[in-house]
Amino acid sequence: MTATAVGPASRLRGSCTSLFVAAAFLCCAAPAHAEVGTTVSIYSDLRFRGYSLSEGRPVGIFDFAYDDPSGLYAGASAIGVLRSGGDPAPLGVQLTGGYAKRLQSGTTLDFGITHSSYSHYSSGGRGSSYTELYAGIARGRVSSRISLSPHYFESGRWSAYAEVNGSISPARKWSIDGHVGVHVPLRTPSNERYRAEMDWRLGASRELGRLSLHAAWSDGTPGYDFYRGRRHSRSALVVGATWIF
Amino acid sequence: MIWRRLSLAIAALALAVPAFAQGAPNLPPDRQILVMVRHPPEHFRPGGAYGGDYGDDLARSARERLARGIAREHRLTFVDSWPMPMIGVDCFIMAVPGGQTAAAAAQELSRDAKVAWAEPVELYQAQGGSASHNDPLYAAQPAAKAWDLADLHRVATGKGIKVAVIDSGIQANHPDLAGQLLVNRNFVAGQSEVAEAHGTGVAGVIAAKSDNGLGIAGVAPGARLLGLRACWQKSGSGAPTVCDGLSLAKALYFAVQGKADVINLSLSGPDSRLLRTLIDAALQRGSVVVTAYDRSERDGGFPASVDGVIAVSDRSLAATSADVYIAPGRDVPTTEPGGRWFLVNGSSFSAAHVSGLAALVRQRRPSANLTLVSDRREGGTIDACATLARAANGCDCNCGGARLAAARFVH
Repeated sequence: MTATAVGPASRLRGSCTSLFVAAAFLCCAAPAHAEVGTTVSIYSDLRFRGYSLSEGRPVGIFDFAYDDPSGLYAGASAIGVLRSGGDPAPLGVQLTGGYAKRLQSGTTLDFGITHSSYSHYSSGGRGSSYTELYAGIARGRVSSRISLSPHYFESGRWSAYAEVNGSISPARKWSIDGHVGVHVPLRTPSNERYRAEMDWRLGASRELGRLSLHAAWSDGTPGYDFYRGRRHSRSALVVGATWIF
Repeated sequence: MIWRRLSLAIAALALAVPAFAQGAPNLPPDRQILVMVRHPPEHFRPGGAYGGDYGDDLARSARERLARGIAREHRLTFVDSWPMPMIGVDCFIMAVPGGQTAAAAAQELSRDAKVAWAEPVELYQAQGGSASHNDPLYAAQPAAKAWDLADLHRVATGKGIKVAVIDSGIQANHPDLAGQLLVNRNFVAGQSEVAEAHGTGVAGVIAAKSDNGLGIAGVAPGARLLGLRACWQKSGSGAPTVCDGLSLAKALYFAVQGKADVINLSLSGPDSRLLRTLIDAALQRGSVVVTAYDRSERDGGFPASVDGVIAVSDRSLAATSADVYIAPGRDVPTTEPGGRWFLVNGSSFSAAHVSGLAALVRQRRPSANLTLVSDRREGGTIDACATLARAANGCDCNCGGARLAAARFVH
């Protein structure tokens, strides 16, 4: 008889299975008016608020979204990473649920919660997670959002994140998007003081039928990123492609 | 190393592959319908981190999945989608198979609970008359005398005002128009950008450069144009200029999103719920919408019949057409493709005059509703001087050129 260790990676595999079952169920059971979207993407890196979550390694992402006509929505993502030897490994899952309301003026208000969980294959080498509540406002191609987390990658670590996103379409099928975010640590379990951090991104996307190509320059300040035993610049060019189906 | 190569490959692919045709391929408009489905509100999508997060590939996937399902159910072919979050709908373009009319297919789809409404792609016609070549001179412009154009320009030139010209193609490098266009975009599917007579003529009336020693002076030479090609000139000498509803919807959407102060629609055709919704959105956002009055249609045709739209004719009408304005539109010299000038006739060019006048008024009073002063309570022959004087200093007077010049100093 063989005992199986139940570590972060195996828990993640369980989460992924549940996610696919839920996605399949929603695809089949969704009311006729609902919109269900699914995409598969590859990226050269998984950047999050100016840091790499994949130790600078390429990732594959399956995204699923369910939009109800009432404004309720749900989404899930499963992320895998290509390890140094070329073996794929589960990196994380993200679950999101919320409610969006479009006002008469055309402005959209958005409230929700997102939970992300990462395996020990992520940067830092140990499983971690965070949950955030967010409130956002969007008008046209500009949106802003404030997120609050009661345990930001660490139990008892409170943080807030404010961001502004915008995009323009300079030509048919092309999109240029920009993002600026400020992360403010509010409270830590050890009462250590952390500085506020900024991150930004400038990207371009091109639609080619069902395929989209992306390139983005991402950076953050202050400090460096640290993974694979050494420090790295927070500046990074990320390229990727998304297939919609 | 492999990712550097992949980055280069992705960049090369993105730049090398030409853009797909806008909207439907070369299908005749009478074989297409527009299917509108309520657009769920935009919201945060964590997975869209690299694509501009609100409104991303996932949303595109969801839209197309829904559209393909509707098309399958009704035995149609899904062609393309055009999200219009500003008015809360996704517009799907679908091809109708032979043996079924577009009107019948649209009617059937409108009964589907998933569909907000559906409509056939209608044809619209520019309201320009025949044109002939002539020597271009400012003195020959009807507005030079009837509207005291040079005096108007002492008060306002339309500086800082954006006028959307939804029409056929404009020659952007025409010597009298060079530098006057902020954008020159083509929304006609399956056709490449080309300079055409009607669009170039309308653009010239509105915003041809003044005091450049060439051709004519536009009514608002300081304004900048959004050239939005939604119409095309049929082949053959004297052939009419026509537009389809889908191209018009795309161009109107662009104009509203681009915050055009004035939208010129020198055309007429059948009523369309989609176009009406977009025009309402434009009016709600403070744009002035000017259109040509079609004498052959009841209520002047569409969009002249839409509340809030300024309908303009080139000649006096029966007393029943109370709310139609009259502006110069006969023997008007204007810009022509090929760097030339020609004489034009028709309500299209009357509408262009009023769009130019609206730009002058907007420059002086950016947030006010456009109040046209005319010889009747509503409608009638426009008194351009009094209209601008009212905007310039608040007076409610029936002025001439000299009085307007004085008003400038009072202000």
